[in-house]
Amino acid sequence: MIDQYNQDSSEESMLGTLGTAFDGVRLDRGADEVMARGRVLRRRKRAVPALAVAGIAAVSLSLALATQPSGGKPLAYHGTVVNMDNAAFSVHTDAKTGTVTVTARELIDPKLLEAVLAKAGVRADIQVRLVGTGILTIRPCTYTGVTELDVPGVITGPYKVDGAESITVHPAAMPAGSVLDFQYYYAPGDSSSHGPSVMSNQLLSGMPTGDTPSGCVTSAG
Amino acid sequence: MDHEPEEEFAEFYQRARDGCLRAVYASVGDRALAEDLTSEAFARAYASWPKVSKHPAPRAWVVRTALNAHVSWWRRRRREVAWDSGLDVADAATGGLTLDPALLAALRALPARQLEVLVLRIFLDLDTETTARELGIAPGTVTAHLSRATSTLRGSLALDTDKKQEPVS
Repeated sequence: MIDQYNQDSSEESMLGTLGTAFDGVRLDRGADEVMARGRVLRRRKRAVPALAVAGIAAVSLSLALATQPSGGKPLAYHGTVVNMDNAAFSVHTDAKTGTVTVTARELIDPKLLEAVLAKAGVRADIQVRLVGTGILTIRPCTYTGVTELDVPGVITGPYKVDGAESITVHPAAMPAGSVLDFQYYYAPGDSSSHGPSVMSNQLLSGMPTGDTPSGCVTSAG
Repeated sequence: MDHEPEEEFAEFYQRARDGCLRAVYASVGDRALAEDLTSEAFARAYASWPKVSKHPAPRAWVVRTALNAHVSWWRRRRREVAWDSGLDVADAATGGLTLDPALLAALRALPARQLEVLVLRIFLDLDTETTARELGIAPGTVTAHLSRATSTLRGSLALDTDKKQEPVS
């Protein structure tokens, strides 16, 4: 009996010690952020049965378009295959899948990359931002008047290739009117090159109006 | 009391988020991953709130969902980088708090079922009956798992302390 008491007491003490060790661990994300994600998941769940019904009707059409991705667009947007490399960036269309891979190295001229991406079928809004050093938290920007679209399969990445960051975009899967929001952040380097860089991407419902976005990057010093 | 579902979920989230994060963190051993998994699980809880709110242990539902979730969406949303004065870039550790790696390693070395029982008891404060119901095992098995887990942890942590105290020759 006494042994059992000692064991229970020791067990409670161990559980208490373990619990205390995690006391400082807190989830600082707001309920709004979690609920916004939950709404997207809920909409998607509701859309699945509707898509299943539509899918049955679309079988014959799909067979006819078997060599094309959904939406009936050709694999490469309007048949345009873009293959471009320069010191600042690379853009390559995969002729088999129609996907477009963008690699940013020393991005300086966002308008040039926007034009090249437009040729490849990707409507993009690109911002190049110099940021400080220290610990940076980078999140997708929040814009007035346009919302983030959560469409699986449109954007893959960012991922690293030979030290530079890349993303792969599927233009045929982009909803009509949508825009790739492409933020490129770099730290100060020497006179001839940027410091390290990272990118942040999201799919927007339309082109931002030009107002300054919020919430993109915060620095912890 | 009659609450709007949004308000009710927000209250649940405020009450439960830290405990669920701790349970997931203890299970996966990676703070940033645990935050993403827990956030995704809460988002799923909100998406199915009419069902989850009636669950006998909604916090346990969140933890179990988190441990089965994929987090690519959250990964894409938030990135942390550390650029020091030498301009090396590296993924930064999340948050200012770092737990004793020996403790995390000892937890992760436990058999899966023992770890599940332990985190539900410690961080969600579930009683034996509820833990048993949630895991689909007998209450006696919960007690046995808990006893073995605490005993193993005591041994592992004592061993680690002994190692740290060994004199340097």
